[in-house]
Amino acid sequence: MSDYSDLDRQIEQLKRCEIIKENEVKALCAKAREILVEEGNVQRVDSPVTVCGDIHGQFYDLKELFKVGGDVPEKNYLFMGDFVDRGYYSVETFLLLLALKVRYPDRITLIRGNHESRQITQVYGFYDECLRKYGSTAVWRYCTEIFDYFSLSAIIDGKIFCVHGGLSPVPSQYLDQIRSIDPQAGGARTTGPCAICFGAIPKDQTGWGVSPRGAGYLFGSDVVSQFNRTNDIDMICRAHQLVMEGFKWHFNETVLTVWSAPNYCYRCGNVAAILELNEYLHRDFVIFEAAPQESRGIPSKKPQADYFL
Amino acid sequence: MEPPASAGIAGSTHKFHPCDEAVIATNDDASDCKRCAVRLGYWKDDYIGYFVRNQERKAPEINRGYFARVKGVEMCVEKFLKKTSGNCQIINLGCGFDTLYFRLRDTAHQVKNFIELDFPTVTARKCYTIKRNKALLARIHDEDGEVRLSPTDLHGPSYHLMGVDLRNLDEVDSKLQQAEVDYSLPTIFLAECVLVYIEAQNCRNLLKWIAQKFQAAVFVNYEQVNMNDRFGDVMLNNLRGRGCSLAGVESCLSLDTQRNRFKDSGWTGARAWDMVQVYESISAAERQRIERLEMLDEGELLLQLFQHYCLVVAWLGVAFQDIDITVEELMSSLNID
Repeated sequence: MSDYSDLDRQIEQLKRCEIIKENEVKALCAKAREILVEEGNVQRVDSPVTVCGDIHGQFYDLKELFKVGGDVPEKNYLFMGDFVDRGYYSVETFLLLLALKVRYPDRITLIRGNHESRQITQVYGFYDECLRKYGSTAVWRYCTEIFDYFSLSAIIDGKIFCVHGGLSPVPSQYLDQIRSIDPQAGGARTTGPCAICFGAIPKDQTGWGVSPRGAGYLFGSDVVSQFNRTNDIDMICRAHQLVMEGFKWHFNETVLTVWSAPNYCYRCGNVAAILELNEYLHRDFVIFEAAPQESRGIPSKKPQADYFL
Repeated sequence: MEPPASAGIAGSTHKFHPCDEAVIATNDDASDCKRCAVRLGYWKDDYIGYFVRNQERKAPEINRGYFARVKGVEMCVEKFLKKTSGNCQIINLGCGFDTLYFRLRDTAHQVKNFIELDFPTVTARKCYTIKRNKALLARIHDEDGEVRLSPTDLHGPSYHLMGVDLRNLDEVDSKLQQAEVDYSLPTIFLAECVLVYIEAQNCRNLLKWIAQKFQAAVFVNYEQVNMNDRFGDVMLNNLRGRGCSLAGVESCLSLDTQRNRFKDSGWTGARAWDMVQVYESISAAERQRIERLEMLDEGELLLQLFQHYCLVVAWLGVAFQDIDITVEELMSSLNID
């Protein structure tokens, strides 16, 4: 047990929203790599499990999530990416999730979102936050290196396919094709094999489409039904898009969007949701709101929402 | 930023409202954001960097939002300048660190008089920065002209920057006279997120006063709209948390309430567009250029912001009722999902 004493201390520290030392981050990422390298691109997950969408550095809202959903390791969790960027505590949020992964590898699964990328984190805040909190970019480098090792998707009991964005035409006719993706081989983020986590979006019409903002593929209902039939899957669970009600069904309940960042950007006014699946894959949604102000520590740390003033 | 000594600010006999400090701070926030967007290449502004040192990067939808705001106001100003051939004056209410005067000096557009008004605390800092930078000062005086400076006011031959409380109309009147305002000259008033901080009655008094004093004028107002929803509630709550109340929010409930505020205050007519429409009215080439600067990860966020801000153009008399933005296609996808 003493092996875990350092890690347990770090988890306690991170739970208080305090950063851990740079060399501790380095060691944590090294340990995480050993675990993640063994996971496949379609990571197998057993029910019961709680499925969560985007978190985006909203640390106190992640704590609220664990408050309503239960703690790791008592509960088994699957997070569908976008741990970092936009919120004010991407460092604490990501490192807490990563530390829990290292401490309880079988009780928490982290898959990759489009914000788990070197390029996007330089635009949306994680890079700047690392620099601000550590005075150098070393921690950002350790973290972005580990991003490449995250699974691109997961499958719960062989029946529920979970991915950050959705489907893309290149690899995802068969799950086996997704299994063989090498995310570190590169390729265009939004059109290459990794497009399933880098921005795929369900669309109203059938067939494939290209996002007008150049951010990946749109996939239609026929694409989903074919994919689900081919791979004997009941539904696709994804995140990636803000939904004001926390979750949203598409295509006759074959695709589900789960969103877990309440009052996104401290501005949007949305509620958040997590999906609890029991051992029979029975679905229960838990809706929650942003953490109340008094649970966020000293008032001067209150993050400011951006407006046009 | 070394703020100048604020002691002995002249003429500030007005009652200081508890929210004024927070309202003043909104100028810093807006200036930081404009600086960030300029640095990333959204539009050109050689002057904002003199007023803002902050290098903090803002989210792409914030940069795009400021781009739409600056371009929207510019489109109206440009049409007005063309129509008057420069035989006009510009009055920038709650000017903050806005650099329009300096940017116009670098173009072929010339105006008879450019007057800027804001809280004395803000104009004092703006005066101080102008005084310290030759590049700015040189654009205010010509060879024989001189620049008169007090801690809060600055007077050049055709540029006047003055500290005043816009709620005190006697003071506004006397300041405008110091600035050699010509009430008979066509005048364009600009207000970017200014009226929303003024109590409704005070705001109506100001707009009525302008309508009575000036013969031919246009008012370009950029601020919040559709505030009667959850997004509006969160915004009110967030800004209250910074000590900043939106005292004039009752005029920001819809495009109708925005227009009516002017019509009920003696203005001949008014039009209003939400920022989705304003963004659409910017040339396609220009939109494509800025949309390539940064990847927008979440279109919903920009849409939500754009739906809660608007541009209002009101006019006095009939000469300027056609000053507007060109909305070619109402509501489109914004090129976002």
